[in-house]
Amino acid sequence: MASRASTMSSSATPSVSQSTKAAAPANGNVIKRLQSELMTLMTSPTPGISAFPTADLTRWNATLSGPADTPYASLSFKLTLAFPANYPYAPPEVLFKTPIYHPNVDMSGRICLDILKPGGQGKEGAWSAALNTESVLLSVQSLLGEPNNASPLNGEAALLWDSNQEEFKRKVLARHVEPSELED
Amino acid sequence: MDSAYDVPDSTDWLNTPLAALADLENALHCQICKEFYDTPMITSCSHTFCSRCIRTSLSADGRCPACRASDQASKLRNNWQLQEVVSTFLAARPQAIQIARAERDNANNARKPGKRKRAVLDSDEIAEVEKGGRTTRSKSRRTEASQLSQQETIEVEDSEGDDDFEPEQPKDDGLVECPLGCGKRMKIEAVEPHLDRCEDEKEAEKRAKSRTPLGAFGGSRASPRQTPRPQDRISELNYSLLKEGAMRKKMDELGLPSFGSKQLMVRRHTEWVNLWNASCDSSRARSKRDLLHDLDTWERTQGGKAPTSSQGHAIMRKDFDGAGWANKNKDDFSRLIADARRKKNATPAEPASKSEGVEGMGSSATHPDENPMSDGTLPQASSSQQCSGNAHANPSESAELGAPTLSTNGMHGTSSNLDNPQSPIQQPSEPANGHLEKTISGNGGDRRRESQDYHLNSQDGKEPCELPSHVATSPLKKMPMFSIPHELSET
Repeated sequence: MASRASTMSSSATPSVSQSTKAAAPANGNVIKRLQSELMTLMTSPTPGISAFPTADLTRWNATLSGPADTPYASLSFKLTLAFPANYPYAPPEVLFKTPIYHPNVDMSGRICLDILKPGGQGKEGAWSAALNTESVLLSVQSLLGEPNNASPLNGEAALLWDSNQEEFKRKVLARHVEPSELED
Repeated sequence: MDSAYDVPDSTDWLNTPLAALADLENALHCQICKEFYDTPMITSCSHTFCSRCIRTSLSADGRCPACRASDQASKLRNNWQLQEVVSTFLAARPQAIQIARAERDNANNARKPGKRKRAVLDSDEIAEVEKGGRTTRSKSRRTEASQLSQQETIEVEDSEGDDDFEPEQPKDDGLVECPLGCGKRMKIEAVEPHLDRCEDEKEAEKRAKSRTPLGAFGGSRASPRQTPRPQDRISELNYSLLKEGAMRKKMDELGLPSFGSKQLMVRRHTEWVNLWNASCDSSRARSKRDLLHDLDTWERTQGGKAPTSSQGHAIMRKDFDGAGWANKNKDDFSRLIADARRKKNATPAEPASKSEGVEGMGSSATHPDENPMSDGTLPQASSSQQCSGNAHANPSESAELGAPTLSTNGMHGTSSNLDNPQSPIQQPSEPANGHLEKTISGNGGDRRRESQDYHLNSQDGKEPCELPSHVATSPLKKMPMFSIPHELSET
């Protein structure tokens, strides 16, 4: 089934067929869904957001630009998205690769955001199968301008956000590295 | 455009005069799989998804993906009307897209000045022109039967009449033939599901030949009005009441694979229930063999045979099970410790103030007799420590593991799995190591350093330490975490 699926899809779509071959073990349904998300992203791009798969179609690189009128304005950030085998029933794992000073992002780039956690009975996660890469990136982008200071990962940043925006912005700029300068 | 790459997509409509149809097509897509609805089901909150999509989603979190209202699979109802809409749209689509593209191409040609004359003609007229051209060229062969030249003109029409024409296809219905050679023609996206049941369908076709003539849309979702095979839906079991043995028996009764842990069997059974019920929902029920095939696909991608390549990432998770990890890799840890000891015996009493990379190993080797790590009677806290200690000894992993330990300190309510085991050690240590505390940079969050200070300090107090005093009191010297359980057992 898997081999059939990959031959089918590689003969089907020119733009993503190369990446499909690399992602051999992934589920055909996951691949299909990611292909159509990619198609949507490519044909109707959202300003300030871009994402593209690596050689493995289940691992994407994304770029966000900081929203205007926030300390992150005119900065750009690189992220990685890793889609699980049961995507879209479980959320992708999203990490900031660019160092960022933010109340809800820790020093290794992990993000505290409800829609990035699986939902279910007794869990406070808010992931839903109807969300997609674009909506996830938009949520992360809006998180930059509206941090959730009630449950911070970076306590100092949360305090500073409320007390001293000037200093906050200074720390943001001090921590930021433009993606072009990041060697990866 | 190469017809082999012609996958139906809503973006096909963009840049044609029928661009508005892109939105219509998107509205006929399931929000979960982003494909056309396949057996659409409506939830109690009136949202519609494919049967299998919504069943899988509900078994994952019990809520509607669109509005997050809680719902149950048993409350799903078929949305027959929508299914009708989707299948009629799919049937009409190939023609519509062909006309839209021809229209667009005409408009494009009209803009090129040199081709004005040609652009005014529609494809039939072009074919006529070509036909005339060919016939004149074949003057030398006039003696040949007129039948032949007639055939030739048909060829010309096929290859040049329309850019979007699919040359290898005699019919212009936009369908493709089954690659397994059963002779059926279907929409390209119906090919993949069809492949799985090609054989079955051939059988069914033979039986029902007189009743169901093969239509233009002979693929998978062709006949919504066919009477469904009476099949009973099955429900999920009360898994928490079943012990592993009972669960295994249940799986055997159902004819499902029964290997793996109870947890895996529960997941497999849930998947089976979703597959089975989705097939019941469908107007065209699938065979059990077919469903088992799908279950096998699940097994290979998400179940027991799935590749566990995400292991390296798991260690970064906040809910990372340190104790479980330590138990699972106990053999490796013990071996590393044994190696370290052997190394120590080979090169005895070397001052352990060398390079960063070997310090974890090296200094554990300096206290071989004090280190009880390799036996099986470790308390929970120590096995978690053992885990981080080992990762520390491995330079490639130490960065990954170090990060969560440092960054989550006291900042996030749910994140202190790795820290907690240390706290009982650290608290008694604080009054004792006052003189060391001063030499440290005073970062209260750096528990790793504190605990190692305690280690140094207690050794100063209770036992003669083998280390030279400048090493023992140096605040920069990192001590291995292996040694902590030793302190635990002492205090």
